[in-house]
Amino acid sequence: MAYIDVIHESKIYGSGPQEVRANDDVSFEIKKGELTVIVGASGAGKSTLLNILGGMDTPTKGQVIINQKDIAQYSSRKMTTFRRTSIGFVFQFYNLIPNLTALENVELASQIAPNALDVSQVMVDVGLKDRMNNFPAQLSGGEQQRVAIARAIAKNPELLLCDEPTGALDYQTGKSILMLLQNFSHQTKKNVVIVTHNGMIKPMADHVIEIGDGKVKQDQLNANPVPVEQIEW
Amino acid sequence: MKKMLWRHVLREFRFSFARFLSITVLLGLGVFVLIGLKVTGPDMRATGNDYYTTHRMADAEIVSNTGITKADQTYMRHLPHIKRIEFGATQDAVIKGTNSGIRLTSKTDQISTNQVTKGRLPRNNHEIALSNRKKSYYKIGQSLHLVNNQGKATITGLKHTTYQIVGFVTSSDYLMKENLGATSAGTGQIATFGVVSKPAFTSSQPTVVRITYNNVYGKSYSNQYENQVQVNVDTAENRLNNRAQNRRKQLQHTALIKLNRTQAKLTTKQNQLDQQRTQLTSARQRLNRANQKLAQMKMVGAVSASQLASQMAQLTAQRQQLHQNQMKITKATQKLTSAQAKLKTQRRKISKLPDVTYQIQSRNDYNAGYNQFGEDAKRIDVLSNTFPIIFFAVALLVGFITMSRMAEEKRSEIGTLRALGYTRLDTMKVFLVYGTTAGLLGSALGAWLGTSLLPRRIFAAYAANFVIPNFQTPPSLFWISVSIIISLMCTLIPALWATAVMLKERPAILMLPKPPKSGSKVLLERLPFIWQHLSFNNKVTIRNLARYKSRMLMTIIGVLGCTALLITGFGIRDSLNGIVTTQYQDIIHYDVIGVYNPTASQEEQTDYRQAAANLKGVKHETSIGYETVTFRPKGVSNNQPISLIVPKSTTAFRQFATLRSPATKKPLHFSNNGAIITQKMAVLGHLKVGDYLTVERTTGQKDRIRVAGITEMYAGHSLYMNEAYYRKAFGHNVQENAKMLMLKDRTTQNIDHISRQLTKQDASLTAIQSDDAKTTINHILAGLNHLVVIIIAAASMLAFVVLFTLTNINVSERIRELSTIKVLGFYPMEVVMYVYRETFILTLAGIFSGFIAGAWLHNYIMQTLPPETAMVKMTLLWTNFTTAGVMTLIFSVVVMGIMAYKINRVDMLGALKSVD
Repeated sequence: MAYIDVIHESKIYGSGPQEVRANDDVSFEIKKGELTVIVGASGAGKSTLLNILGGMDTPTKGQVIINQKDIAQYSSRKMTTFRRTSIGFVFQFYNLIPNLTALENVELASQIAPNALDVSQVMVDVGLKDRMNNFPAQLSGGEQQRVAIARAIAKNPELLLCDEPTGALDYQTGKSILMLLQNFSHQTKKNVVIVTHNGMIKPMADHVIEIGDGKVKQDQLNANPVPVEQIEW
Repeated sequence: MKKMLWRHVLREFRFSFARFLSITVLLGLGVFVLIGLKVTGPDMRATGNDYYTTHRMADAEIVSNTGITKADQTYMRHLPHIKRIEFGATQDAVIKGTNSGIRLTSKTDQISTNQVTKGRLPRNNHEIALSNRKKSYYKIGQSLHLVNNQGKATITGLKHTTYQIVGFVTSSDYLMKENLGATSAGTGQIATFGVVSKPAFTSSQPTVVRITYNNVYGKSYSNQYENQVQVNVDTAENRLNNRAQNRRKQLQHTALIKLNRTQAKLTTKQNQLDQQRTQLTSARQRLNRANQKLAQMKMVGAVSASQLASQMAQLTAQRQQLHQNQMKITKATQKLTSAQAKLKTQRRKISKLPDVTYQIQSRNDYNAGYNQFGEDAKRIDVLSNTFPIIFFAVALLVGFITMSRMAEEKRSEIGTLRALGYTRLDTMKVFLVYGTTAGLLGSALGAWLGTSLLPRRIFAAYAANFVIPNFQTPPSLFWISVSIIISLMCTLIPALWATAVMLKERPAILMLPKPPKSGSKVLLERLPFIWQHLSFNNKVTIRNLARYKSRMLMTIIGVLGCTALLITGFGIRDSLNGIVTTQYQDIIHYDVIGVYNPTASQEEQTDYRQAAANLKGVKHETSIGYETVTFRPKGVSNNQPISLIVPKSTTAFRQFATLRSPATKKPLHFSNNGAIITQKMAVLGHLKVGDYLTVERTTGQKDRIRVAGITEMYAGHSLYMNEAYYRKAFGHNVQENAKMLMLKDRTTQNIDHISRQLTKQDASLTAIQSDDAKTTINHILAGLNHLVVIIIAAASMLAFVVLFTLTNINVSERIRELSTIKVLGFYPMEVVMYVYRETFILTLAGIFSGFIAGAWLHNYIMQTLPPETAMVKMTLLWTNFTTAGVMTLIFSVVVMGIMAYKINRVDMLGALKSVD
């Protein structure tokens, strides 16, 4: 039984001659516990797809069934609840609240989630034991992204969605972030979806979906994912 | 051609219309209140001045209680600085079939002329022109029947009692619509006036003198004008007082001469009578002798019987005649005695002849309407010195934040334009155009409404009581220029300053996003025992509060200003409303003072006193001595009228008025060593217990009065003293001349009815109703209520715009933060509260500090606002605070609603994707 089932999903902006199809009849399945990488060039429609999966946007057509519920039919309120309880987001720009310390940024998320994890433990897990009481401005880019990941994880979500998580980071830092995500997925058996334009990281995934022109170009499972340390790009 | 640059500038308006609108509205409000309040006073004075000029209003008037002789007229003509002088007469009467008193004035030619609104002025002594206010009640050609107080168609001083109405006129003597002045006719207040020709009066001796001066300049109410008139009046006053005393002596002299002549006649008569009596006695003796002789002759028989009988008859006839003469003499003696007695009372009367008054008064004193109109205008001047400052300060503040924020937002744009090679001036153009447009548009809007709407509204409220028409609202170039300059400063300076700072940086740096203001620990975190007990949300809020300190301060100040304005607005209304209750329920219990003439015959006075005591519906009555005196404290332009009340029994008086300390409410007692003065007199004269004040009586006599107590009183000045102190202060015994009445039914109709009953008495002088002042207060109240509504509306609008602008800035500046927590799964309300919680706290802080500021402002305005004869309660009701607070909170909630709508429509992904 698939954990995520996207069936004939389309996202269409405008109508008539100005019609733009960001997602055009997309269908795929993701099993429970998979680390999925969605790759595609800029403007391929991968971010739109991620937003729909995360309950931040609704598709024009089709079904998006997550854990047996069709979120395509959700009201705005239900979508918020869904984001609150089930989804963790990581962005290219970390979007931390400048006015809150690292720890408080994580608490911001944990305090609204019903099954939140222990915040300090999560901070230790992402390697920020000693930086907990610093403000974002006092942290490096990688550290800030770790805080962002900790914020997403601390809610104890079913699904972790990452939009170009390494886009603003240097190579080494980026690699350590990806490592963190891979470990999280494999250790907790939770689904992680990473959206990227960088095809080189495909080997780290259990499942790779390639998107082009709003359509699924390739959908393949990877029986033996490579640990991030061994990937070079 | 930098066409695209201009297009960019113009588009700025469209993209930030809400901001443009709020700046414009804010500045408009500031200008509206500033110009509106600043020009209303001058506009009113100018309008009044025009009215007085068209009517050629007298600069001063002399009123006499007796006819002015030719010699005194000549004397008055030669008083210094007289330009024109005109003599006239007045007589009060009652319009037949009504209770309304009417004052008939002789037609004037040069001074205080009447303007005909319909028909014409009277030409013969059968014609009358009525007040324009009566146009709808009477028709031209109709007859007007007048009666005296007893309802009879004979009026002392007037040749006729029936007049033909030939026209309707306006007058500068009667500026008020109601209560034109005190009178002995009707209810005690003049209801209307009429103009008749001079020959309509029986006496050729005038009683009113109107004067214009040749050394006064400037408009009515200007210091230049008022002070010069007062100087002239003061100079003339002493001379006229002397003249009046001479006139009294002269009157006494004439009367004495007449008396002496009568006395002489009487004496002659007496002598004659005495002579007659002697003659009569001798005649009787003669007769007796003749009788004896006859009896002797009869005994002797010396005469014949017939001779005897004729002699006998002759004798009887003589006896009868004698008897008749005796009777005549007795009658004459009686007559003489009574004449003598009459003469005696007359002589006493002459010695007690009332003082002759030649009272000269400037416009402020002889015309209550003139004074009140000026006071009304002055009250607006007072308001204009405080309210606009607050409005402008808040508008300025918010304009300042908005424009600097705009400059901040345009940072990368400025960088780009500079990088493209545009000059500094070009990059500043958008701010110049934006700021100038907002400033000018706001000023124009505010100036337009402030020049026309606000003054008209205020005047309409006051005009309800005045007959002065044609309110003029000329634009004040001065205040409009001031407003434009301030407005432009508000918009241009912050934007230009912020850009100028930015332009110092290299374009490359400008194009990079400005790092968001980083957070930092707040002081409270150093107190773990408090910090650790705060909820997470509270911690966030506190951090945010500390993060934007300047905006925090501005929000507080903005809300503070608005709350203070609201409190003051409501407070003014309630303070004024409060005095009516306190004054007429807690302090003054009497309803009417009936004043009668102490020089009237004993019989008439007794009649009056009995009538007053026996009137139906009188609950209590007491005898008092009543007199009007004046005092002029330093720094006050006109004489303050004071009612001097001397109760016959100070114990009985307690039922009629509660004299108590304003602060402690403890009752005050009459003293043999001083008088009790009213609160406002003490304020005006800076008087304490133990101080002395000088009062002037109508005769011009000045006396020093010691202050023994200060009593709570809100309207009108009064001086209370017992008989012992009266004697000490004025050097003679008080003359009991009035009845103070308390009625069972205290309605205006009943008070009018009772007053009418009193004035019907022969001895009556006038009836003073205690609620005459009530009418004045109510009028002021109605006027201020309108003003208060405008102030409250403007303050509300200000509060709303301030909150909106500040919140809008807050939200747009933190849109990324809001998007982030939205993505994290915060529900819409939680998102709104995340940012609004701090606005709420600031609003509350603003409201509470506004309470303090409002109390202060209210106190200040309430001290300066009331006219010189009145004061108001300083206390604010708790409802003033709650209403103002709740209103501000409601605005805050409404703004929150608007913001919630905006926040929920924010494209969370767009905000998160972009760098900034």
